[in-house]
Amino acid sequence: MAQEPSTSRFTLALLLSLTGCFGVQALAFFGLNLATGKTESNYYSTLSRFQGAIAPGAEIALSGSSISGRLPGREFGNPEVANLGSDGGSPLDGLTLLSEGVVGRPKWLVVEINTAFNSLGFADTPAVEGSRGPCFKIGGKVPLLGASSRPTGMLYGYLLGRRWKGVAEPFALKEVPSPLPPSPLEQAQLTDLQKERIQLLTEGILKARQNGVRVLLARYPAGPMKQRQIDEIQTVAARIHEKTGVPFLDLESQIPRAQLTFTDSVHLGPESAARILATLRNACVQLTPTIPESISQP
Amino acid sequence: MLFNSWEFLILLGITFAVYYAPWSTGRHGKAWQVTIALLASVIFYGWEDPRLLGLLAVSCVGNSIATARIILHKVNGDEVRVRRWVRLAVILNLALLGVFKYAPFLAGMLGGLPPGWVAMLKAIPLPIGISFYTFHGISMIVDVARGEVTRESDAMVSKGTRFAKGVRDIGFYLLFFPQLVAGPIVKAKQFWPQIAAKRLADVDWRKVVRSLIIGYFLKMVVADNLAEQTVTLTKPWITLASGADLAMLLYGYSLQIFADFAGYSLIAIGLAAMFGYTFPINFNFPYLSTSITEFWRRWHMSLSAWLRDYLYIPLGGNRKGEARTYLNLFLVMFLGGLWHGAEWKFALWGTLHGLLLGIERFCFRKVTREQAAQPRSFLRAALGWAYTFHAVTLLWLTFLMPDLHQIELYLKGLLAPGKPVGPVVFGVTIFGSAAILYHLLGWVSEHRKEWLTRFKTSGLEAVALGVMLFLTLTNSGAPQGFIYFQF
Repeated sequence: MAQEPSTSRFTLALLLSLTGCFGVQALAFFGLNLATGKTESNYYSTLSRFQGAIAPGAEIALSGSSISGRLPGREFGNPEVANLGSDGGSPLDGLTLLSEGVVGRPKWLVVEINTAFNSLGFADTPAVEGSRGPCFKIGGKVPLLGASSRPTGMLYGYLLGRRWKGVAEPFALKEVPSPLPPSPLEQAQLTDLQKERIQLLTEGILKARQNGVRVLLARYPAGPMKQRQIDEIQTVAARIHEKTGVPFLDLESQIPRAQLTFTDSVHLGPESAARILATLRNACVQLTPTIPESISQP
Repeated sequence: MLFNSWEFLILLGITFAVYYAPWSTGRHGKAWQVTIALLASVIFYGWEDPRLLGLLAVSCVGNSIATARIILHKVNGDEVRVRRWVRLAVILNLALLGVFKYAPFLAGMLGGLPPGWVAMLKAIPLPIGISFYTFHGISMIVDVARGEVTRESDAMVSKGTRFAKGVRDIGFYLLFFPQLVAGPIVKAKQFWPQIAAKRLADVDWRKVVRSLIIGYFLKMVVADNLAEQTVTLTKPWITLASGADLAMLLYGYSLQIFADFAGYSLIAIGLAAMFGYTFPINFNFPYLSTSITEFWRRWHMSLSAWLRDYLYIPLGGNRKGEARTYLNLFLVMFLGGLWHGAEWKFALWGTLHGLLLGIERFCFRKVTREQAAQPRSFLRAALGWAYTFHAVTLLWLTFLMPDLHQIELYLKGLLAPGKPVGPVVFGVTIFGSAAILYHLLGWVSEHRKEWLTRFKTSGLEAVALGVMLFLTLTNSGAPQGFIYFQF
């Protein structure tokens, strides 16, 4: 009967196999440029964006949910945009990471308000918790152990075919910033958790501004909503503007729906997402002279 | 503390280094190693909530005292007192389980209790792993009373230091961290004879590497990645999923629960081997089964063996006539289901399995052992496999879903039109196929032994382990607790 290989041969074969796998992964990541921010896993899609945002100096950071997450950031090779979109999360996730110093400080921060009330009543999302652990930090420093180089993630991203194709044409906007809508909901019509969320978002925005980040509130084009949800979004925008003075940009009302494509009922398709990003950058450039770099307290 | 946490890896590294310290080969090597392993187990168990250690200490001391008394009476030939102590100890073990695991459940069922009492009973937290260490305690009591564990007898009937050493060894058996919170349920008669000084040179490293790599792969790559998809099944937005999605997700859950628990068991086996101990295998490729009867011989084997030895056989097994056999089978499965959790859904899950076991027994009652041992035609085996896999998978619904309403939503949703969505198809296909490949290897090991030999001797096994290690490092799912920790 044949003998099993000796311990040294067994170990050598195992290590060679491990090294070979890392070699193939490196080829896919560096050689074929398959790094991706959109994987089959919401958790890792989010972490890949967060890891991309670790280095400071991005021109724009996007804090929001998976709606923001569709805009191509560093995880897709777009060096000027740090995407803090949290799948299943809210803009609070990105603000938390910024305030804890987990991710680097950008020049501009765009806060998505469509999902301001997502995951109310829960502690930090798993992705925020994950970003505090050692794996996140290691992955941020060693690309092959990062979330955007997961083998199945790269395969999924490749099959999905969503690549960043560079600069896109911005949409023409009539008003930058948008006029602020009235706050349709009274204080009494908000739940305690919603009031608390508005307070936390306000604090996060103020802290970012104190650290020299210019902030813009944005409502992205998304799927059809019930009137109550629309009222909530407008109320959040009005309340936060009232307390912080940050400008508001309503992309939903300014971009005709016929010019947009969606991958489902909520999320923008890749081309529309790239155009929205270009539009945001234009708006930021336009607003820069009027917005102070930092504030002490309003 | 979880096996897949950084804290655990640090604890493991330190424990391993100290356990095999140069002086561990000396005269007090056993005492040193058992004490170190015991200390590590205490840290492991009390890491999240040190209060839980109090309950564990009660179980440990209580079982030690009972064991000592049983051994004493056994040495004196006083069988009446032996039986009395066994009864008392088993009742106390079950009482512990009853209070912490079933009191909240019973409080909800019993009418007439003051609301304050009900609220108080429902607020009792479930200590992690209580079902497992209680079963270990009962195993120890019964094995000692049956005379199947005699090695520690002299220590336990002594006084002073020798008695303390006996208690320490009992504590070691109950607390040893690889098996503490989710098994495998190692019987006292399997474990006690192994307690001795261990040498680093005797460690079977190939077994350690094999068990740990496959175990972590199944847990962190297969189960955790599948979990991110299958979580939809328990959520209200299940109604938005198409029938095709729901079907895929249930198959995914079936493979996930296997990978989660089998992975945990393999990690436990590998860890025990690192410290010189042998645990029984807990999963023998259960989804190769061609009947529910066979499934229970392959799934959570240590629980099945425990229930057989300490419940089914004492109830009379199949020795007291046909009717009693069916009743015993039903009782064992009903209680086995309830052991998983203090909810009717678990009892229902166990009972339905018991029902299928009963039906199979009835249908094949005239088949002799020799006939059963004959190889079956491919068609019959395939049909048997399809029936078993789908029955087991469907019954996971009662295990997984929070309530019957969710099961109803699921079954209605199966008829919903629509294509499956990308992440579900991709996730279940990719990660589920790893669990299927693992079973394929099991089939080869049973039916094509020469292929398996070639696989191992050619070095392909080491290559496969390297790939699994790579995927564990780079492609794990979002960190999740082990499903069986909640039991």
